[in-house]
Amino acid sequence: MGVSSVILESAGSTTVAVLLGGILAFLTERTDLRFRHFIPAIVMVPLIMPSVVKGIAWIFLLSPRIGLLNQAWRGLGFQGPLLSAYSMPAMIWVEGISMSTLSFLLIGATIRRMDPTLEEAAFGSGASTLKVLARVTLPLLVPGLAGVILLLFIRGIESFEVPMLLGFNSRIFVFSTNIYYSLRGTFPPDYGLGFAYSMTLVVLTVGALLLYQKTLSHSERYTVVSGKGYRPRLIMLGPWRYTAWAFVGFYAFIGVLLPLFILVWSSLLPFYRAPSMKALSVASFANYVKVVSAGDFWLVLKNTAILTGVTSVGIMFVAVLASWFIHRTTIRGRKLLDFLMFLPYAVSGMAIGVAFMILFLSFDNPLYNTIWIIVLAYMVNYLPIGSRFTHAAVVQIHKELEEAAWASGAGFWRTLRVIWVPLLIPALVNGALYVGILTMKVLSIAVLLYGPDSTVLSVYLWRVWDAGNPGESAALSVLLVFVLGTLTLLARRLARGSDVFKEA
Amino acid sequence: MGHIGRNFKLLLALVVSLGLLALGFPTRSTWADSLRDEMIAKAKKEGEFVVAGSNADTFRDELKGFGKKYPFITMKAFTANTGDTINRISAEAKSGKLSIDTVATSSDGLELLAKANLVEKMEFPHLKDIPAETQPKHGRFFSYS
Repeated sequence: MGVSSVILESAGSTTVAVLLGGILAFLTERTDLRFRHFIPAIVMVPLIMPSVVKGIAWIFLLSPRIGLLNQAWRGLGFQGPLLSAYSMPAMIWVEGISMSTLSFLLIGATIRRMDPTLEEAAFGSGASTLKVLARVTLPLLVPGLAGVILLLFIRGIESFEVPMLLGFNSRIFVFSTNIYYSLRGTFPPDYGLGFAYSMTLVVLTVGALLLYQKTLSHSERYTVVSGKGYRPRLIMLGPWRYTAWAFVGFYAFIGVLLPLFILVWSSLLPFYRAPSMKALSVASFANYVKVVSAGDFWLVLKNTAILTGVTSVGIMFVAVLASWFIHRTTIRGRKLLDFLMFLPYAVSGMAIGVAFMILFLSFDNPLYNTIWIIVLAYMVNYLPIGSRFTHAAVVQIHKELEEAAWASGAGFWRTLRVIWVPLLIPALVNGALYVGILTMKVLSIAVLLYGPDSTVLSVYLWRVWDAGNPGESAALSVLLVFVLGTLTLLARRLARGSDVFKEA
Repeated sequence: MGHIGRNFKLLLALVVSLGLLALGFPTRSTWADSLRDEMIAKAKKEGEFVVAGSNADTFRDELKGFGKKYPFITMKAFTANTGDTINRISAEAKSGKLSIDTVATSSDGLELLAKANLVEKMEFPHLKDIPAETQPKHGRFFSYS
């Protein structure tokens, strides 16, 4: 149970993500499509929608009987639904759209790293655009694409929120939902089975990650990074530009506008109804008022602020010390530290949640059932991502600067304050914001570890939805998207085009 | 609603009384009066009362009122669906770190807890006011609708 489903779901959603993200990246980087610089802004929007929110939006759109798209489908005279939200194809579609932003960023970076001189040589030899694409561009992209596909596949294997929302009730299980089911859905909980699923998931993701690294090392044989500073030739789309714009429009409509619209619409109604003037007459902000005035809403906000604040600052603090230790010292064991810090990347959030729950139940401690156990678990989970920011930043600071400080008589702390902190601040702020956004979005860890006083926003949203309050869930989703959107805008402004932020 | 061990049988009776009062049942203070001192001493020692389950939120007002009357007890509600609640109780009981005192969730879930011997038999004066045929024979929880 779960193995074939998880491979099908992961492979399917990877295919959707690569097709959507890949075509959009190609249009942005390599074609003369007008206004193509708007495409990244459109593709970034799904990033600010947590998977739980996307799942809820797509249930409103594809619920077999009342879903907006299925009602429209029936309105056209068709029998039965266009696509049921509670099916494998719907899970693949929603997860695919969810991963399309990452696919766009990674494939875009792969395309940018290509050496255009090889294409120029082909054009110079009289090859047509199509021939150059097929014989030069695509083969050059293959190694990079293979890496992207593997990375997306790993993300697909680890996904929890979409399979939980769309697959759980129709008994379509993947690994993460199997772990959740064995610990929360059967009674008494089957820890043996939960551990077995967790370990299999770890083996699968570690295997895929090793394969990914091997692919990356192989891709260097294709040496496509060029030091020459000229832009590759843009492909003239000609009449195909209409098709290209139709595709961008389709993505913007289906991936961004429709889910956002249905969430806002549902949040304004006392109970879900398809959009109409009649339904509009009963629209109000009652769901927002109900959500904000609920007993523990402000406690949830406080917990979420503590979780995101402490996790992101804590991670960047640990990561910068570790990066300094790894890159600036010759102490034995630093390679091991680097490996240990990267290890959680291969372990899914659900498996980390299970491990923390069992561990903190097994000995006397004051952390169980508090926000601090969730903070710790998220820190372990996102330390590898935080360290990507600090590794890159530490390596860029030349050793001469700190040597000069030491030669001038400054001690360790003064060097840290005068040299390191000012130079590292941009990377630290970017990293903290990115980790904070992830922490706020992801449900899988907190859902296993929260207690009476430590509910956070993602769990609260899940709880409200689970209790059968779609209007309030939609209102909470809109609020969450607003907060995450503001944070993302802030992060991108601070990032100023940093590739580390974009690709992390 | 079911009750989970620890020293809170008496405290539970008060909470249940408050719950029943909210539901329109008459309260009888004589039953609790004789045991009040013992109950308060035990409650002071433990300091915290947690009600958990899918219906835990519905007890918020009662808990708030109770907390005002007995400020030395911190009242907490842990809201989760039935599966989450009963499995958490099972995990905590197994490890000896039970944090939940009372369960307010579906009777299916409570029945599983009763079968696993994870809830105690409930005794409180208003029990006889509830039609016996609507209640489980083992008496480890009571249900209302």
